[in-house]
Amino acid sequence: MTAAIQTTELSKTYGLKGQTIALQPTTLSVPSGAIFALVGHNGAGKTTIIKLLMNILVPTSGSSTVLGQPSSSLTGAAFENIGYVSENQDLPTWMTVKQYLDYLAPFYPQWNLGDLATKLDLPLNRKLKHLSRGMLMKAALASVLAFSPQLIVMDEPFSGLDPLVRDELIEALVARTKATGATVLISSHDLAEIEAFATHIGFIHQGKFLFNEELSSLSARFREVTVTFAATVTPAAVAGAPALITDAVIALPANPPASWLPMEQVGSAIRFTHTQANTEDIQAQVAAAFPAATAVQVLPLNLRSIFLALAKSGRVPATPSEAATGGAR
Amino acid sequence: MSMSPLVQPLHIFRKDAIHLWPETLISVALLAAFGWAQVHTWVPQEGFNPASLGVGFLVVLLPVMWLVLMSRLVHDEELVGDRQFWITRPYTWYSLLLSKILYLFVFIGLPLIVMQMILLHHAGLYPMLVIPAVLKNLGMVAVIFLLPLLVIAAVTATFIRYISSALAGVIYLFIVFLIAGYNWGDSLGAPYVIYFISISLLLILLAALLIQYALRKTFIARIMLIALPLVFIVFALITPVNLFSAHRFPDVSVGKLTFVDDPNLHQAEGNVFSIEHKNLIQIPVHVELTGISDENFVVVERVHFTIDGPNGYHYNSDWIGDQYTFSNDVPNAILPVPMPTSVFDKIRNQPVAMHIELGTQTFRAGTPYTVTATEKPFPIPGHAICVVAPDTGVLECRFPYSNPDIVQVTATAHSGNCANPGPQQAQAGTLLQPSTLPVRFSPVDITNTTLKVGNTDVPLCPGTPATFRSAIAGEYGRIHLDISNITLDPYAFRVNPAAMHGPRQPPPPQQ
Repeated sequence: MTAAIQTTELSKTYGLKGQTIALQPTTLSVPSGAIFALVGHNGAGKTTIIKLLMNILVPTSGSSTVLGQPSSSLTGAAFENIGYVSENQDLPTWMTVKQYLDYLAPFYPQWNLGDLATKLDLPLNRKLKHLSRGMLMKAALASVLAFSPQLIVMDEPFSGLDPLVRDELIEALVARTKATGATVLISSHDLAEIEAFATHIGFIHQGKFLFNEELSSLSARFREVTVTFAATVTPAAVAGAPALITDAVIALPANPPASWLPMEQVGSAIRFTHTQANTEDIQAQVAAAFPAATAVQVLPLNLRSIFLALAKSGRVPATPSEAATGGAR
Repeated sequence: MSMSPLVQPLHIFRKDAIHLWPETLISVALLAAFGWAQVHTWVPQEGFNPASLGVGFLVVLLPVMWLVLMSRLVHDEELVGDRQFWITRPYTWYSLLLSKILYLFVFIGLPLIVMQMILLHHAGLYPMLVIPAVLKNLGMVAVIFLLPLLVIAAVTATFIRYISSALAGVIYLFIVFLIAGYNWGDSLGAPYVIYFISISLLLILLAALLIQYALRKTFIARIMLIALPLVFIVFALITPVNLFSAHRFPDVSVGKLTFVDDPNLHQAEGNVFSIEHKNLIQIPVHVELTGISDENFVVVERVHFTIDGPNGYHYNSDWIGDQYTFSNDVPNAILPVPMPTSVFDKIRNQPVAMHIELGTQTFRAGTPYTVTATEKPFPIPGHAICVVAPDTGVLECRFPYSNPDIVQVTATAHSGNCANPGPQQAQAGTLLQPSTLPVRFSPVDITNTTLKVGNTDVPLCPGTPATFRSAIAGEYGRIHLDISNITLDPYAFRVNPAAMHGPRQPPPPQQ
């Protein structure tokens, strides 16, 4: 599968001496046809990498290509195949929705709004400046979907939208991209909103790309493991009184496997996240590390839980894609 | 197929026209109001003419409105920042720039041309005969006014920043120009330098504009604008004044220059006047230029001199700016020759040989055109018209722009007034000198003048034949003058009371 987006050691710093690092050198590949969710906290560097890819910002070092064309040369006709939607974009708010769409139409040879306006319930005669945030994003998305771009780049498009509008947008996006086979790069700090439709996930934290991986692989790798131990029962000192039950004293292994994220004790149990559940034998590892364990429970994790675990651990997990590509840095 | 490079500017232009029609309408209306008020200033009126106030007001308001329009136009697709919708749309930078230029041409340039053509027609002039001047004026408006504002708008994001940058830019340019002029005025006034400076300023402005539109390198474009006024200082420092002057004034003499040992120029007691900041004193030298053709006059533009004194002392001056006009009627002149005080102090009381060279330009009178002056407009050279006031005999002429620069008028004058003309007197004459503003809102230049015999005003009465001759700029040349055995101290320009440069030195003992 060819890459719709490819970056090589792409970085961005600010200040004369580069003291403010917005994006550390990043090598990343987004396959064609993927819906790539770029995930991270606010200020993690998601917008920076997107603006670098769109030639809105100039990189400090490294390079990138978008649809096979160097990002630094993206201008004019190149954007006939690239749609960009951002929560922070300054639109010509003096125009009505219809004026805006009519104005953009002649720029694109393949423009076909079709029934998008109806489906998105766009108020065509209302000025952009009078639209709610949700409606504005709908109008922006419609102006991109209308020309069926090969690549759609969306920077926090759903931020602050109510769930109904968000679902409408996602539905419109997925429907159109399925039909056209377009690649989508979408940034978000809300994992729940992208989990339903993303095919790939990239996690960026404090300007550093921690990993990128297919969502199916990620879901297969991560498991929540709960190891239960027998509680300590102390007989009552006074006759008739209940016995005193206290949590087991658990000795943590000195060198747990690398695939285990830091453990926490919950009552008489130990809980941790396993990052290689698809390739390693969890039961055997637990038995070796905790001979006194009375039970082991292994549960799948949703995306939010995976990222919470990663964020808490602060670890960069070794991922299959790293092994294959040399690693996302 | 994507939009062609021709269609895209028009598409953006159309969008701007829809968006900015109120500002555009106001701009055009102000221009129309200016034209209307201007016409009413031409109507003779006793006392205060309110139309003049209107013109003065509109001359300020119109550029302000253009500032607003420029800001709204350029900032509609602003180039500063990273949030604009258009930078991720299939805009081509040249289409965008072209659309803005087209807008300025259609809604500022064309209305200006139309208004000026109407004014010319109203003034009784012939618009179709002066189309080159109309276009030249539009070009000057574009280069001197619109281009700098366009570039400033391109490197700013908001109207407030745009206005403050434009104001700061004007003040900054003015200060640098003053500093450069004060310190290196001779270099800046040297031949050809104005062309180099003008071209450099234009190229820097264009480069900044193109860099900003093509690459959106705001920082670089801003640095270029900040460096722009330094062009004056750079050229002041690097200009080879003597080389340029020697090239401008070839060794072709236009007459014979002789030294007049004028005892009136021997200064009384006092202190030699020194231009302190330049350490210069002035030696007024009385000269006479003979051999000038009757129809010509010679303008001295630069002076260069050498001094050879005792013990092999030699001084060679730079070519220094000067301004004086010789004609057959006015062959004598007292040329103030500037000299460094250090040179003067060395040789002031010693007999020296002085060689003076004057860089000149000759102007010759064009073909005479004789016409009977009337109360009704009558044509004169330069596509201009004149009328004479029957009661006062004042000649009022209307020129399209400033072409030609100078017109000489001669007529046979009568004594008395036009109602009761006396006997004919000698030839009377005057010069019509239209203003030489490089940029004009009003294309009509009006001069009012009276003929003179000597210093006396005489009326030009209706029915009198008058001859008009335009001055035509001719060739450059150089005139030499050798003065031997001159002691400069008595000639040095002095002021009294004592203040400046030291008392007059006692004369040297006779050899």
